[in-house]
Amino acid sequence: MIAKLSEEESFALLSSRRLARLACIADGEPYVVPVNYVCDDISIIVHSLPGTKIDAMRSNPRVCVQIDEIKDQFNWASVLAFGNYKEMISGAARERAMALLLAGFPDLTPVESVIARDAGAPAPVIFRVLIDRVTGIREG
Amino acid sequence: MLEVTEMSRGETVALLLRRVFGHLGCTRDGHPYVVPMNYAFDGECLFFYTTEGTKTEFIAANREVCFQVEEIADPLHWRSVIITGHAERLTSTEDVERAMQHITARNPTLAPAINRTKIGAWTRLNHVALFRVRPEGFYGRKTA
Repeated sequence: MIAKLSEEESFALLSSRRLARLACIADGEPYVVPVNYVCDDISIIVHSLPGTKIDAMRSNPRVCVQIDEIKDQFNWASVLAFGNYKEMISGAARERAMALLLAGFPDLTPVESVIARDAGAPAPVIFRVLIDRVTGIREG
Repeated sequence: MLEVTEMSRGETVALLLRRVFGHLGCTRDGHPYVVPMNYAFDGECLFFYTTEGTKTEFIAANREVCFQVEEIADPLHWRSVIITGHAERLTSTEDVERAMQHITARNPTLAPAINRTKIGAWTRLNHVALFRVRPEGFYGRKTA
């Protein structure tokens, strides 16, 4: 039996997880990637190197974020959060976001990754997805 | 610093063959949508099935989809693959049977154990929509 989660339950699950799939639109086509995130009351916060997803969201800020908690095939929950991309360029909000990220992922330096073939390390982008709608379902 | 490299075509195919669970991305009217999804990959095409609903409405509006599959141990050890292509809804009894048999073979707990002559009737009865994606693009990244 599949049941809907309330908005509160959906947010609670979103806050409890660290790995999401982020879907955006790149050159008119869907694009899905896993991202590590931290959550505050109104958004999820992610850092990334510049690349396909950043270009895509700068061009079309609409984003869908999905997280799940799967125990087995009949015991799972999935939450979708819809919102808009907002880049955090500078200032106190960016510093707070960076502190949250470092607290959530102590093993990661702010510059999380580089594609090995690229020369040099470009500056990381910190962005949030300001959530305007959240839905969830579960089974079991 | 974490080093991430591109996966070869062979590595992306191998990962798709190993796994049976991923995430389907689609878009409609400028809005992206992503949902968890079981699948079966036969080395050439990826098959998935769902019931009528939001997903089938999105795909009916725009057949271009993205399917993402991952193996994540922790934030420092992972690989992730994306394929892109058109989702083609299977309607002929022959296509439906072949796809269901493939899905059942890859993941026996997923679909009910039904014999081949019943598959077509079962999928109609349960409003199941079966899709096939012939990948146009393979992309994969992994931690070193």
